[in-house]
Amino acid sequence: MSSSSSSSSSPPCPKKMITLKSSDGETFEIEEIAALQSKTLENMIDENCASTPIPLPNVKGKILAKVVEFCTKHAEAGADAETLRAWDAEFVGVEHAIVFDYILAANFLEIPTLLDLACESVAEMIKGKTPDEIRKFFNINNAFSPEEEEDVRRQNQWAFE
Amino acid sequence: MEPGRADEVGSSSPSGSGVSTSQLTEDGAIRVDDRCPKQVSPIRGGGSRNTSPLSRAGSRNTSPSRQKVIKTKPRGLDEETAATFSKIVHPDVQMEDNIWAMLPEDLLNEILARVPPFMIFRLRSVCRRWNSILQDSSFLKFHSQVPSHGPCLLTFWKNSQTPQCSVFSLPLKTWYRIPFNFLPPWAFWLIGSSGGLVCFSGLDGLTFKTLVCNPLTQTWRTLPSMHYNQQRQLIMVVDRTDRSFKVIATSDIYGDKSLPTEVYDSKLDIWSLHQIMPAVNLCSSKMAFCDSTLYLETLSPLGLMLFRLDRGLWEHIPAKFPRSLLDGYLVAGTQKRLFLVGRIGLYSTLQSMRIWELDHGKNTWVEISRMPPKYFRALFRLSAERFECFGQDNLICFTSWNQGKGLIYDVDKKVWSWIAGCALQSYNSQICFYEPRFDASIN
Repeated sequence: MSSSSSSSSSPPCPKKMITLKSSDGETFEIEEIAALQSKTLENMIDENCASTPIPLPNVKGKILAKVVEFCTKHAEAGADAETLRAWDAEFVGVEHAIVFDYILAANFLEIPTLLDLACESVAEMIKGKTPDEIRKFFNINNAFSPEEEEDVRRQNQWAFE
Repeated sequence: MEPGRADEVGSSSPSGSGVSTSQLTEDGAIRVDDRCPKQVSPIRGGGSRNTSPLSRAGSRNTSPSRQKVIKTKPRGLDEETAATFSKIVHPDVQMEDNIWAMLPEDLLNEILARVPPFMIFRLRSVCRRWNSILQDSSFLKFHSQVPSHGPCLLTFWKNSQTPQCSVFSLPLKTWYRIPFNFLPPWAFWLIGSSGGLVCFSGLDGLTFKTLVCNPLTQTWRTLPSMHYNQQRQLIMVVDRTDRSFKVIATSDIYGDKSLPTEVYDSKLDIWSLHQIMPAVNLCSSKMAFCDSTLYLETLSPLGLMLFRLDRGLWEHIPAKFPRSLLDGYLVAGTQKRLFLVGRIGLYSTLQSMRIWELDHGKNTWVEISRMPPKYFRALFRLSAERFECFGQDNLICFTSWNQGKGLIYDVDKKVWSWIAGCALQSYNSQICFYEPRFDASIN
């Protein structure tokens, strides 16, 4: 019987650990299978760059710890969809600054599930806000003149009712 | 066939490609005035879409013990936000306001792509840049990749001149009166909707015309005329991956049956002629489209008439209908699933509404669900009650205008529930499922 796959990327070893190093020098271990949630890390593993700690200069330790937690949770086999959703909801139920960091980290590490989750949570925040509150939230200068603003508002009035 | 019938049912049922159909109801029109108390139950968005943990409706963990300990003062939530998502409170601290300003534009677009499409219109009054968000290609790209918003209902009613169009979002439990002023005066029948596009037909003088529009972008165009100027039974089929759509025109139960079937292809922008539907006795003009096939019910020979879109040919299969079937609505589900919906039993006390699914291998209808008596009683006070039935993505909707309410059966979850927050607004509206999409192109 021939040996198992001989393609360039070997199947992930269940217990193989990858080491990640945050921007502030902390190291974290993550199972390879969990690391594959990140396309960035997946590429590095494929190219066999994963033997030494992978430096992630864009992610600080506090956030990397949470990202590892997220990926590990999502890599668990047999997770009940409902339970996972609840876990996810709790994961993003944190201060804005942290959600912001999740978005940046998920983008940098190309973790679609985390990016989705974090962006969705911000979208939820925006949903209930008035235009004025949104301007404050995003620190946007209102570049409309009062007439322009009135015009735009009128055109889109149906969405406010 | 007169143009005056305003009680056509539009239904849309996208499978891999999307579908919408126009149907005629044949139930009597007895009005009943008493109302049942509305049951409020959240509806989960259909199928495998919208798996966000913070989805606005459906099962959520709202137990207080799950809240994080919040050190800063929570921002007060208004009624709408409290009702629409879980009780997680996001603290708004003054000093944090600046962090979002540092978000790269791409990531801002990722966030905005996840705001419900209807609410994007509110965002346009924030600033100039956001006002032109609908032209931003990065936003549109992300929007096209994000899971669908969830099932919406589009209702259309034409009273002499002005079209009244409203969209009900099931996830948001809200009605939106999207402006439909762009519709030409001849647009009279709602054919259906699929993949974000909506199809109308009507008679412009003596010419039978069809148009396709995207209500969100307010874009529309009239399709070229068919080869034969005849009022036809239409169905629109959208292929989102291909970014194209087709419209199939067949003869309806009253119309001239000697005309060839015509198919419009948006990529070629022409109608092509295909086989004439063989002479059969149609049960009704109700149609459903799935798996590249159009299905109609026939009385003699008993069974289903199929139009294979890729071949342009008709064939008949002798799928026998259940005995004592009173009405037979064909509803397409996802992939190859085809459902038959209707009442069994002549006597009102013994009637039940049932749903069957076609076993394609054996060409038989297999019962998959029955409407629980409490819902049946609430919807159908009299045996000849007018109701409409249509479906999309394995959701089957029942609306009874007389009761002003809608009921949904989720085939995958096997759950019956009232559509919460949806007081159906007028009699004689045409209705179909609708998926709000900015990226649905009319070309």
